[in-house]
Amino acid sequence: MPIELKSFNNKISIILLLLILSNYFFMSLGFFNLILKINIILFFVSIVYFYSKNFKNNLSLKIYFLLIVIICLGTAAEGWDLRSLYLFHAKRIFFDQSLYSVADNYAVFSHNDYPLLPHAFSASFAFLSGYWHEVFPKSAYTFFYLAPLIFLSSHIDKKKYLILLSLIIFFLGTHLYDGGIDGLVAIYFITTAYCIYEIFFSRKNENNNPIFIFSTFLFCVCLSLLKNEGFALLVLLFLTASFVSLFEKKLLFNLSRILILCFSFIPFMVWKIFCYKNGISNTDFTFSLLNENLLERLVVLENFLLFFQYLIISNEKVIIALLFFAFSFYFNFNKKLFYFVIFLFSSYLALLLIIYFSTPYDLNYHLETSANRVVESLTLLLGFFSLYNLNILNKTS
Amino acid sequence: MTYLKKNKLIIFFFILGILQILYYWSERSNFKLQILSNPFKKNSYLSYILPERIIETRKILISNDINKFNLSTKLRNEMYFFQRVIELNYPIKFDPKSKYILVSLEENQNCESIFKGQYIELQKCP
Repeated sequence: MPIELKSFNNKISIILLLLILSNYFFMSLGFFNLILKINIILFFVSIVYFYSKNFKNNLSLKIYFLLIVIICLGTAAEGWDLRSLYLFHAKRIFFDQSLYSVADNYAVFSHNDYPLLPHAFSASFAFLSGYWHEVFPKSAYTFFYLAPLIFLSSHIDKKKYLILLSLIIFFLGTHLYDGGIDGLVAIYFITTAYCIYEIFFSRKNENNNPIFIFSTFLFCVCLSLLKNEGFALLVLLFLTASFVSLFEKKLLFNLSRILILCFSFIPFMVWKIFCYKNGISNTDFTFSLLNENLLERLVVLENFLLFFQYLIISNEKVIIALLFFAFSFYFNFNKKLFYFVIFLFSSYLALLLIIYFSTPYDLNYHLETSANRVVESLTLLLGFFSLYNLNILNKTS
Repeated sequence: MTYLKKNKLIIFFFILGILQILYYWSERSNFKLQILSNPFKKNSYLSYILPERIIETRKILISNDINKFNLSTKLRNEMYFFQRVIELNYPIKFDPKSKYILVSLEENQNCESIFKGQYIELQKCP
């Protein structure tokens, strides 16, 4: 891709991220007026500009995304989580004109402790039209995908990018248009993982400039504010970066950049302090449950079988991703990348095991209702880095 | 022809992506042209996705100008109904202390009947 186009795509993705975050920032300050509408209009103008300038650039993404938005705008808001959690939070923000109304802990089932970034963005779609409705605000979750997709297009060559889009459509499927947050977590996770890998381990000069680090910072903030899982994944990414740096004896060399990026934790921490002060906690996971359920379940072998059955064995997408990973690294064994992905994969799997084993619900029920969703980050991680590994092969050959 | 030969991988994956989206559109979505023609409609096409008795609660609460409502124990125990009624009716809030209670018609609740719908009744308890 020509440098100008790469730079254009980078700028567009940064602008989209900044507009999403400024929308959240304005709401957190209580600005629910014209400034919010201007912000969201600028977001749409940026997308129109991306589509119209150099029309042939990124044509496949433009066509795919347009089709997905059409599907999204042609379907009613149906999913359980979408209605009970995500759109309900957006609705509360719209009617209460505040991000902080969750302090009353009304409707506990809606997980009031979840960060509100995507729901604030969704509420702003309703603010733009001036009244509450569901279909258009639901599309906000689809528009949220655009920034990382544009960003990745400027860092992967054309052929590999088309394969990546096919992989994303295959792995995320209905989440692309049904307002599911887990797909967003997965795509922001792999984009952040890619950035972290580039900054700390690949060390290409072109990706070690302040703009790339700034983009990484924005992706880190967005990932942490999508959902609690997003923050957990971000922490794992930083741990992985630290461990691999330590393993390479380059921890001190990377420390300053790790510390700079750690500032991206602040918005999430502020939100959690707000929740803690108002007595809002997660209903699915508490430290008391850790003692009660985790230890009890850890000694039963059937629980492990159930866990791996739902998350890996009976999930055909995970199997395909694992096979692709094995295929990719069999042909080109990039040791650093292999350890980076394996460490992330196994540590997230271990975290999921702890969370599932601590659940206050029946383990089988909890796995059955959520395993398919939470595993998307893992499948996309394997799929993306397998492709990235082949990308390296292509370049070195 | 030369272009096709040179870019067969690109064309293959482009078509694969399109086919996947078409599959999701036709098999895995409840796509309706009517919704696409006006995605800004105030009623949000709820009749396509929610049972009539849940939509009825909203009509009852709005027409009777209720700000806070309670639900009978039976309705509260139906998880799907409970969550849908709460999210659908917001900013009208569920409050267990409210004297206005929604009951299903097959229930016997000895409070004053305010409004009787097709599936749900609004009662006022002392």
